[in-house]
This record gives sequence, C-alpha cells and structure tokens, in this order.
Amino acid sequence: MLIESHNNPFPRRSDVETLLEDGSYKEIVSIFAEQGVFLLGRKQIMPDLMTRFAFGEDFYERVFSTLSKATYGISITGLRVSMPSGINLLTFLQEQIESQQPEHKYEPKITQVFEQSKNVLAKIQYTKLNPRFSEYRRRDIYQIEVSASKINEDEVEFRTYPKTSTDSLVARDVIIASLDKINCVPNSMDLEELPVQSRVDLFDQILRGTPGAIWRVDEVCGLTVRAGTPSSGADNDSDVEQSLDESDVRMLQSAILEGKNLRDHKIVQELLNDEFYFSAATFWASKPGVGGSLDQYKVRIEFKKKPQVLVVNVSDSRSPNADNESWEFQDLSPNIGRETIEYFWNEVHLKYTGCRERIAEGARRVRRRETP
Amino acid sequence: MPGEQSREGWANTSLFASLVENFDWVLRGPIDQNMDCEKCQPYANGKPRTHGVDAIFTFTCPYTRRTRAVIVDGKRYTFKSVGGPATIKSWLNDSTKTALHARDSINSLSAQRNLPNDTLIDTVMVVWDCHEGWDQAKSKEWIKGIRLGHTPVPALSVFLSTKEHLGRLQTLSQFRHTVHSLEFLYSPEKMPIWSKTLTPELLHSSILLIRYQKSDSQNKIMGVLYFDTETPSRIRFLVKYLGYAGLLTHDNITIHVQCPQNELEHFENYFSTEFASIENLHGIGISKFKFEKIVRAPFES
Repeated sequence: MLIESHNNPFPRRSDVETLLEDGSYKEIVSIFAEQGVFLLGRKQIMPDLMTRFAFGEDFYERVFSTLSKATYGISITGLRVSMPSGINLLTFLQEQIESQQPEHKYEPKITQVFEQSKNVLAKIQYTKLNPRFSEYRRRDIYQIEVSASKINEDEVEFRTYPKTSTDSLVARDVIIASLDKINCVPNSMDLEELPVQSRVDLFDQILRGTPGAIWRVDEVCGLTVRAGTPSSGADNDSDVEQSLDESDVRMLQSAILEGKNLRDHKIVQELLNDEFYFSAATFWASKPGVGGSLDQYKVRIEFKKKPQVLVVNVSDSRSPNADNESWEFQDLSPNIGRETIEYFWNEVHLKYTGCRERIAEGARRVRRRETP
Repeated sequence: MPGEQSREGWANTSLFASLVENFDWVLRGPIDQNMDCEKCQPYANGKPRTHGVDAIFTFTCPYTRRTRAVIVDGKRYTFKSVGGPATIKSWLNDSTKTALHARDSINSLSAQRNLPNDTLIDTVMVVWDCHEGWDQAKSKEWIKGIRLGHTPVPALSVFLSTKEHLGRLQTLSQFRHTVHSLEFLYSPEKMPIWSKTLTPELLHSSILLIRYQKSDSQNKIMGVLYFDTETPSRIRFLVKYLGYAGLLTHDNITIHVQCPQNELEHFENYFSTEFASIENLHGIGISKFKFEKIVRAPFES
C-alpha cells in the first residue's frame, strides 16, 4: 500500500520505468493497442517507446492511473517455517521492531506488532526512491502487513497479501532476516526441487482438484511453461518462458474436464521431452458445493523465481447470463476473493507436500530394495 | 495476374510511398516483390520459400541514429468487407511474421533490396485505406480487443494505420509542399533533436512540434501541428506540452490546427481559456500565439 506519493503529468523515461516496476505490462500494451500501436517486446523496452508518442493528456492520465493502480485483484504469498514449539510469536516479532536492514535496497523495518484474533500481525514499512523526482531525492513510503500463525505444533506460517512484487520481496526478506537471528530456515516451497515429471504432476493435481472439495477448477485459461533441466537447481535452468497458444490451452482444458491426465496431452509430452515444466496456471474456479453458485473466479497460481515465492492471485469474477452462453463480469468481492486465494494457497501446499512425501517414499523403497 | 484487391493494395502502397518520401523515407526495391525466406524450410526441389512484401522503407531514426526498416503492408478494403477484429488481427499477425522472417533473411534481403549494413527491422505498418463505410467508433472497438502476444527480441512496433493516420499523413505532406523546409522536434525532455524525418511514432501522435521556413530567405518559425480538436483535455495537454518542450521561450509560435474553418475560432477561444489557467506558471502572454487552419486532406487522391 502506497502511503505517500507525488504526481507529475508528463511521462519521462524514468517515470515510466518506476511505474512499470509494479504496473501491469499487459494493461499498458492494451492501452497502446487502442491507438493502433502494438508494441511487441519485453517490459524493458516500454519506457523508451512510450515517451515517443504525444497522444494527449487523457491518454497519459489513463496510462498513469493504470500503472499507479497497484491492485490487480487480491494476492497471497508467504512462507512456512519449523520453529521451536515454545516460541512466542508476539515476543519474537516485537524484538524485531525498528531493527533495520541497512544493506537492503528498500530499507525495510518492522514498525508495529500486535495480536489480532489468533494471529500476530507485523506492520512493515519500506521506502522507494522515486526516480521521477530524483533531483529532489523524493521517496515514497509503503506499508505492508504480515501475519504469523501456528499451523501445527512446530510449524508457523507467515503470510501477506501483497499489492506489488516489491511487497512480496520486502516481506520475504524481512521475515527471513528475522528468522535467521534464531537460526531458523523457511521450509522449501521450490518447484525446482521436484523432478520435472512431478512438477507437471503437481499442476495436474491442482487443476483436477480434490474430489468432494467445495472449490472446483472449471476452465483453464492460461499455462506458463518454463524450460529447465530434469535435475533440481535453478542455476541449470535456461530461464526461457513462453505462453501456450490459445488453441493449445483450450485443448488442455478439455483434457482436464474429461478427466484425462495433463501429461497425456501431446503438447505436454513434447514439452516434457524438451525438459519444459509448468510454472504457473490461470483458471476459472467456482464453488458449486455451497448453494449451487455458478459464479466463477479467475485464479492464478504462480511459482515465481524473483523473489522465489509462491503467489496465488484472484483477479476477476463473473456469473453466467440467463442464456448460459455468455458471462457477466462483476466487481470482485474482497471477502470471497480472500476465501478463494486462501483455499488454493492451502491446496497447493497440501499437494506440494504430498508430492515431496511420495518422492521420499519412493526413494526409501528403492533403498530398501537395494539393501541386501 | 494480380486480382482486384491486390491491384488496389499496390496502388495504396504506391500512394503511401509517394507521401512518406517527403519525410526522408527511402523505398528499398520495388513495390510488391517477394522475399526469399531463409527461415522457412525450402521446397523439396531446393527453391526457397517466399513471402510477399508490399514495401520496405528505411530511414535514419532521430532517437537511435540507426537505420530503421519499416515493412509496409497495404490494404484497401471496405469497412463491411473487413467485418471484424479477426481480419485485422490476421493482417497484423501475418505482417509481424513476415517481419520476423525478414530479420532472419537479412542477408538475402539486403542483397535484393540494397539495405544499409546496420539496418534494424523493427517496425511493421499495416496501412488500411478504408475507402467505403468507415466507422471510427466501431474500428476503435475492434482494435481494442486485438492482442498479438509475441515477444520478439529486439522489440517490434506494429502499427495499424487507419484512415485517420493516412489523412494526417496526406495533410502533413500537403503542408510540407507549402513551406521551404520542415523539421520535427524529437526528445523534448532531453537535448532537443530537429529532424526532417517523420517517424511512425510521430505519425501516430496527435501533436507534432515543428519548425519551418516559408522561403529560403526567412528565419525559422516555431510551430505546432495539432490534429485533434475534439478532446478538450488534449488542448490542456498541448499548452503544457509546449512549455515542457521549451517552445514557450520563443517569440512567436504558430499553431496549425486541422479542423473545419468555423471551428478554428472555437478552438482559439478554448485554447485561450486553457492557457490563461496556467499562464501564471510560465509568466508569458497569449499574444505570442497565432492560429492557422490546415486543410484536412482525404487519403485517396
């Protein structure tokens, strides 16, 4: 959440760079497209290209309000950590108040810690230099909240609802630095620690859902694949990402709805042969179990690389029109939005843990067979 | 033998070429010539596959100082026959693909079209001359829904130049013929660069900062070419933009407005009102501005 900001009606390269750090590339591309200009390239090229056009104040107002609008739905991210069972979370976090990380780019610090319901909430403030006003050294101050709660006897979950990727990064860095002081390391939630086939398995299971669960995945509308090597380790990855064509996604979607395994799809097989794996999925999900609601919510599950975190986001909601052939898009209610991402957040953790346990069990079985 | 649409597309591209040549664009090779593709697998008999290219132009970019190549695809269809965004999207995708294949075929293309060594193919223009039934509002709706979705490296700018942009180009060309010299202002936020070259980006902008000479004996006149009188906020933007670009320090500035004669007075009054609201910031008066109408020319001639 931005708590202090400054405004400038004219876009300079540095303005656009700053805003694009947290803004949506897709939104900007679509605003240009409305002018008949289709910019095909990576985010880095946008500042240079954007400042070449004089479309008028209304255009730049739209661009800036879109870029400044940090909220694209509701997101959840965080980490789980095994901590000594006797630890008092309130005291632990209170001890971190005002302890700055001088090396950190955004100079984050915990400013306030208090109990709320069964959780402990920590408010973190950080500052970002706004290059647009660099001549005056102006800084914007942001604030995020991190909640800590025990999920079982010796495991604690720190979670936050970030508005931007910087929020995620700062929250993660502050919590990891605090845990480091008591020699605790977060439990891994790294896709690359799984064999390539299990990474596909994991997404397969998430998209198939759990029988009898109140939430259901109705329609897969996007998959991101990432090139990697079968062995774990981020360093070996070629870091090539590509999006599947719309038609391919539609084929994958129907394969799921028919109960077929994602791995059976020829594209997935081809990608697996080329050592690709899924790193994110976007889908429409509904909650038919409760009152037979047909409303759908657009959910994205993403294993991010920088920072290396799992992020679950809900960005849209829609309900079917009377003809049952078209949809009406609605404002996303914060309550149902939170419920949605929390459900899928827990679901991913559950499936991920299941995957790791199966791999460990397989390894144990192999060892037993090899032992005379 | 080329079909009717192909012949009309050729005529459209030829007209486009005759206009942009006024702004330092160089047509490379003939119009409507096939390009041997080095990216596509050749035929079984070894002959290379080809892509039809309506025209390739090059110009020296005032921003990058490099030679930029623009691949132009001329279309001449009625609004009704285009029918919807799917057709436009396929035009844009086809032209994008041609440009990407042209990048990979730069050796044969350079030999065929005599391209300079440092040429960067970074722009595609689909030039749609809608000669019947043009519906601006509907076209905006169509374009709004189009997503191309490639991320080539280096970046590629794909322009859909519709009747609006082509009319603007024709008007600019006419204006160019009424003056002795004409230069456009680039990079006003940094060190200003004046250039005779009109980039595709500037053609798609509604405000062009210019300087020109009416005859070779006259000093340069500072001016603005302004193409949109419909949106009030753009007039506010124009006034601020002039200050931003440092043009307000000049003694006399002429604002050339493309609008019907009876609307020029209305525009002038509106400009004065908007200017007054920010006049104190700049400490200058409205008297330095002169307004002149530029005639909107239809693309077809």
